[in-house]
Amino acid sequence: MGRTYLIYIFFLLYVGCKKDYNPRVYRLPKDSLPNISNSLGDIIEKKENFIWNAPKYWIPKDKGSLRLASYQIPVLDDFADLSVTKFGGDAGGIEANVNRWRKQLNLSQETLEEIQSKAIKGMCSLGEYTIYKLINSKNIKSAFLCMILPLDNSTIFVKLNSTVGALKILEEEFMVFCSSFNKK
Amino acid sequence: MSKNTIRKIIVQKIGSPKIFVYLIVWLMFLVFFGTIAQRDSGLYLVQLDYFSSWIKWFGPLPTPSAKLTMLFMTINLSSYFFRYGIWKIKKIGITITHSGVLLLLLGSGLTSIFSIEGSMIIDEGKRSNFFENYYNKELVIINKNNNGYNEYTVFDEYLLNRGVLLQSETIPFDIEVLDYYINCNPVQRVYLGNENFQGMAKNFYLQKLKSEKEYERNRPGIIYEIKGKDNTSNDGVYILFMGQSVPQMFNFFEIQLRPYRTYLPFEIELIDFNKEMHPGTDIAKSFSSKINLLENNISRKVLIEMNAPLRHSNYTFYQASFIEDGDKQTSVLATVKNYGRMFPYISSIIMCIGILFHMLVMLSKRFGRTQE
Repeated sequence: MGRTYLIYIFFLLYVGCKKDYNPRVYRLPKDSLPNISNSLGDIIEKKENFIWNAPKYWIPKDKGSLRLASYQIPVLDDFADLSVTKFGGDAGGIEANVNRWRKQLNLSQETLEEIQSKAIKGMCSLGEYTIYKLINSKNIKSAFLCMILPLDNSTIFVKLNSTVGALKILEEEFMVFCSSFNKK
Repeated sequence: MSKNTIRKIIVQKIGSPKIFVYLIVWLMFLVFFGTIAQRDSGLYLVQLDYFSSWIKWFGPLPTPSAKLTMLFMTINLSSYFFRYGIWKIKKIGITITHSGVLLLLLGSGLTSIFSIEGSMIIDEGKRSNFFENYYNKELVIINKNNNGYNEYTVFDEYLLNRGVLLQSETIPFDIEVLDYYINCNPVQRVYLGNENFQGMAKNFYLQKLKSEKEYERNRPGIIYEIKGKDNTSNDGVYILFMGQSVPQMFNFFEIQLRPYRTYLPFEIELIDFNKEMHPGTDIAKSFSSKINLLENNISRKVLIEMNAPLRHSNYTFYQASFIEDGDKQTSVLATVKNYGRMFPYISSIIMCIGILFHMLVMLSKRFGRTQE
């Protein structure tokens, strides 16, 4: 009698402790609620006298001597490169810098008026900034999204370098990143 | 063996007060060294190692963990109820106290098995009906080829071990787990991967990393092989890590690695998030979330503050933190479902009554003797 009870108890323990290898399956209405899990755990970087928020999945990498920060952004089947730099004064101005980037993409030079007519304006706690989308349709392997944020005695530059396809995916995230610059 | 002999063994051997003392000392030892270990290994890993596992290994030496020690303690204390004369007036105080301690242990057992916790993150003006576990992950295959709904096939993290074949009738392929890392980093290959590698795995591999001290900061990743049942065009080896910006799609099937999600039978809408700062500083003094609790098409406005959580349907929502991104505000609510929540209160009261009763009995006994 005692043995029967023991076997019964061991059977219950075995069944109770056995892992369930079956998946859970459920159905949910499409797009009923927003997916917001990616906002969890953003990394707040503190550099100089300002801070910014970078999504958690961006991978910080060696920034080199000129950069304040560098990130590798996993997108499609490759990485995009994002850099944050700061230079004294206006660092040559908008026209010179945008044309320098255009040259890197084999695009023709433009006047300040032409450049500014295509710029996207944004506002963060440090002031007003402008974003420039530079794409050469003949070379889809490299495209830039650049932000210029003038401060009192210096200028912050953010440059995203990726393929044209990846740039479209990251565009919204880049805008959010640029708006996250704040005073420390 | 007669009933009396069994009773004698239970009372004298298993229920020996000496065992209880040794167990208490061992528990103190585990708590002490567990607290010290937290400095290097972090809270979560130490909890798993010292308290939630069955065996705690000190080098090659297996020892009972806190969970097993407390189970022994429960058995040891339960043996008291096999003693004779426990309901006599001079013993009833001790019996009540034993019942209180047993209830406390039962409550902690229920909490460790059934309680769930995580965080609910809601942007201002948005709604959510789920919370995500801080530590556990899940591999989700979402079938988007249906009108009006998506079908989710979810494999829990404990299944994601090397060599395990994940199968389900709801997905047209099998997934073989080649490796799973609790923390990893995608690294660019110097040479292209072999022709069996697909998607991101062609140019990248996952580099296994040591777990972060703060476990929730880990970036888990999985290397898996797709084996199609009918259509073999997607067959190959893939990599996937948590937070990957572009989802992995196989026709209508999307694969995600994400925190373990618990869905609620109601929704919470964040109407407004408020924070009060210490004057002249950027340090938050207090913060609160004004929410709409939506259930069965009925909406209820509730204010969740730092010391005033919302309790609803056995879930408790605490105002834990917030995220500020320019003008966008996001509230983070720590969410807990704990079936054993009331046990510490009830058992403490029972223990107090038991000790008080016992003291009164002893006092009256001593008072009686003095008068004699």
